[in-house]
Amino acid sequence: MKLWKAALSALVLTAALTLTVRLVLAGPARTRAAAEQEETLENLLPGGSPVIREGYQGEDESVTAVFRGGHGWVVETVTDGYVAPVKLWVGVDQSGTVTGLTVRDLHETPGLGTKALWDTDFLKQFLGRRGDAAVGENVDALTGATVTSKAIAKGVNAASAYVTGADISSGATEWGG
Amino acid sequence: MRGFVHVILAVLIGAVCLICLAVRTLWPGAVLPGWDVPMLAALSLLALALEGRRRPKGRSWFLSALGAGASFGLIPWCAGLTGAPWALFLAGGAVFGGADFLYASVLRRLPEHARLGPAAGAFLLFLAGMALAGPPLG
Repeated sequence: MKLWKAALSALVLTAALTLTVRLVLAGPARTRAAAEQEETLENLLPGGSPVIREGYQGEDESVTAVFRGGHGWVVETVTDGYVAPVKLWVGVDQSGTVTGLTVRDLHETPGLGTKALWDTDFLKQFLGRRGDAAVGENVDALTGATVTSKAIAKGVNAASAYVTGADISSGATEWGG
Repeated sequence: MRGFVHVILAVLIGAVCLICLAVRTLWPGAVLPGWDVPMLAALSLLALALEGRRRPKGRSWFLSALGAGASFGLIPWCAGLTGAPWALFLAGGAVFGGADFLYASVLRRLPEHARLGPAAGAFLLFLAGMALAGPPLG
């Protein structure tokens, strides 16, 4: 009986501790998050700051947000990966050419799909593309993570298509529609 | 020692939450692991492995799962790492219950003097749990 009381106390104390730490860190976390977002947007569109969030009224379900800069756009896309949706920020200049990209959220298979978070050789393949990224043709897939690679290619192509207005059938992926 | 594993579990979940809060504050762009089945299984099995041979006989599966579900539902929610405490409560309870049942079966079949056996058994069960990877629950 004593240890059940100890278990309950541990639960309550740990919950209280995490709540306190969360409240204490909330302010600094907000400030740093805003600074990080601004810095990332500027890195994706070199020389393109300031970047302003715009509403997206289009029909492409992959595009979830758009930020407009002086020399292009940063397009947020969400596409279906192997395990969970993959969220990207893709910098695209006024001609529709990809100037940068970063993975903002991804929960793929550890050691396989998660390599997309840090494998710069893989991500670099999308730079300079203009809606024509196709895994297996001009983009090498991550080993053991073809579906994740295709999800990223689909996001990048959707971002380019937002700027060029192209109606791509997205040959980059057959996964996730 | 009834309830001991729940003390360990609460401490482990709390430690993970504190690490996530620190990472989220210091590196806001970092992608944190989600509260999915492999994560719940890893924490459950780690707690069970740390409890090891101190496991009481005749532990109530239902109460045990309920306690684990409460830890998984409440602590990450208090840390602001999930918006769906009920999903984590239900999934956490189910995953811990399943892990507890399977790990108890492994322990029963291991000789008393096997030192690495319990840890290896927990690791193998974790690898099996990886097959249930899916989108974050919270």
